[in-house]
Amino acid sequence: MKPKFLIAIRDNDVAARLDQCLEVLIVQLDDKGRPLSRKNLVLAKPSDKEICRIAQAEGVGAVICGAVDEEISLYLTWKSVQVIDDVIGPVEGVLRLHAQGRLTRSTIIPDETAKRMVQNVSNETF
Amino acid sequence: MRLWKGIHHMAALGADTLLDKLPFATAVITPGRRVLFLNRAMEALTGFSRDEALGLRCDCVLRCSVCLDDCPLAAAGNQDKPLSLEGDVINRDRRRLPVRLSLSAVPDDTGAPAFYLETLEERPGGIRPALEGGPMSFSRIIGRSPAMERLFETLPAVAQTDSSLLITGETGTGKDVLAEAIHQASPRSKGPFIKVNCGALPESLLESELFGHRKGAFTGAVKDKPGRIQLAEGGTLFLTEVGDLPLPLQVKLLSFLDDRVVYPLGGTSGVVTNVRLIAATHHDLEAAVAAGRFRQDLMFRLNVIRLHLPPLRDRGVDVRLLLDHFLNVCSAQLGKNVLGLDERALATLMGHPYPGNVRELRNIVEYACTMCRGEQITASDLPAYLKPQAPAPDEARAAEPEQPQHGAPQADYAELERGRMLKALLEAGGRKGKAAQALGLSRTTFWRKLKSHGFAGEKKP
Repeated sequence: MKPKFLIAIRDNDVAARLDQCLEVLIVQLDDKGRPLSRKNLVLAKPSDKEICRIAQAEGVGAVICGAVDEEISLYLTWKSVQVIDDVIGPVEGVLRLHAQGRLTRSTIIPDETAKRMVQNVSNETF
Repeated sequence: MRLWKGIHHMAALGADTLLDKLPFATAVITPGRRVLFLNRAMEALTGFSRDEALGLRCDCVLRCSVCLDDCPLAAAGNQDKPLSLEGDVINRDRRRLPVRLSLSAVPDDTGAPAFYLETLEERPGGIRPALEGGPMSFSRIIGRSPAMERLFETLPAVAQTDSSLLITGETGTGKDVLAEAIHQASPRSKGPFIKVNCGALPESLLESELFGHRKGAFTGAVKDKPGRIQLAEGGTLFLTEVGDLPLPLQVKLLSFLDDRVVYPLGGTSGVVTNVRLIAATHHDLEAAVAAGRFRQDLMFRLNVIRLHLPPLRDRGVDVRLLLDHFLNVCSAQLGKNVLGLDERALATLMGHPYPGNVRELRNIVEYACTMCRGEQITASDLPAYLKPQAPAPDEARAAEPEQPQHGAPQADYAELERGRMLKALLEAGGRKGKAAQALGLSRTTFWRKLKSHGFAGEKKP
């Protein structure tokens, strides 16, 4: 059984900033990368320190989020929690990548709107 | 459809070239809250390249606290005036930077927003010391010397007026910080604070930047563009290094100060504005007037209220106060536990004339904090040009406000730092984590410094 991991979320995406996130998703995978359990926790107010506390209380091995303050990142690392930050994308896509062991810091998973914009702009001469 | 219009509009303007020339971080956002473009300054501030950011949600790229609290785009679309808010961003280096966010909608032919221009201006941040019964302070300016106390007494009244203000002082004394502090304490604090460096742009660009231009005013002016004076509507326009303003623009600025009407480049009709002007210079304007480099009538117009920031060598007890203050700030920022200075280091720093004033003092403390491996800064942690064996700086040069002499020492200790980092990297066999550890730095700080010295490639730590 793999260690649990925590994703800071906003709607269906990874939250842009850990310190302003109001909801986290805690997932545990089996050895084949399939979800064994997943639960959502809603915070009373945004707080990265509260998320650190939750991560430790839940025995989380990795925290996945968007922006994180260096101080918080160092704290989590000191507590042996891996920080995979600077991640942008939909929660399910991020989950899939992490289950495959392919999620790294600064991973960006563009959605359809972003792909369409890239296509439109590449057809335009700047 | 509207997104396509926005892209077409951008391309027609040649906006990438224009925006890259701006000295402040700017993003172009679509009405659907997607990033269309980042200028070079915004790339530097956020850590995202424009190609990476294209099409992504703006809150995921700019990562500004105000965007996540309550998206300001909706408010900006419903008013003609630019919106100005304060918050912070966390960039890709995990650094939290206090910023001022200014936002304005750029309408298309139908009047609907074609896109939004969002600028982030970094505000020098820091930990404010506990000042219980100690030194006086105004915003982030602290001091207990008689010269500063006299200044602090006048500031609240100065902030409440709308009169033009001229701030003088040597380089590094905190003119920009003071201007922003006055804006923050003024009834205009909810309006924008727009800063223009008169010495940073060529004359042709500066005129268009300040006063705006009409469509067809020059090649490439395919649409009307408001100038920075108009963007400061309801707020404060801060002209830094006003002594470097070219003479033709001095005439135009004088005309604006007379009737508060802006005439854009290539336009015949003017726009009435409501802006408070604060100007700053390290030049002796009277001498510049005598030499024919600055118009006397403009000096009188700017000089309704004048504040002078004293050089650090005239602030006596403030040197020790600022040393302790910046030691706290830098120690916290670097994640270190530096508690103070040993006697020799303190004597050296107390005896230094600080030609670069507060900026130089802060740089010295940051350097010493970086190099310090224990809990106390020693003389060997100080920049090379300060060390006792080094020749003393020429005090005669230090007394010349117009010729700041901190460039050479800065270069010296930047070079020394670069050498130490390179040596640590070589000793660690290229392993950055190990090299950072050897220097007593966090990995991220080490990476940031590597980048600043031009060592780092594309890979992130």
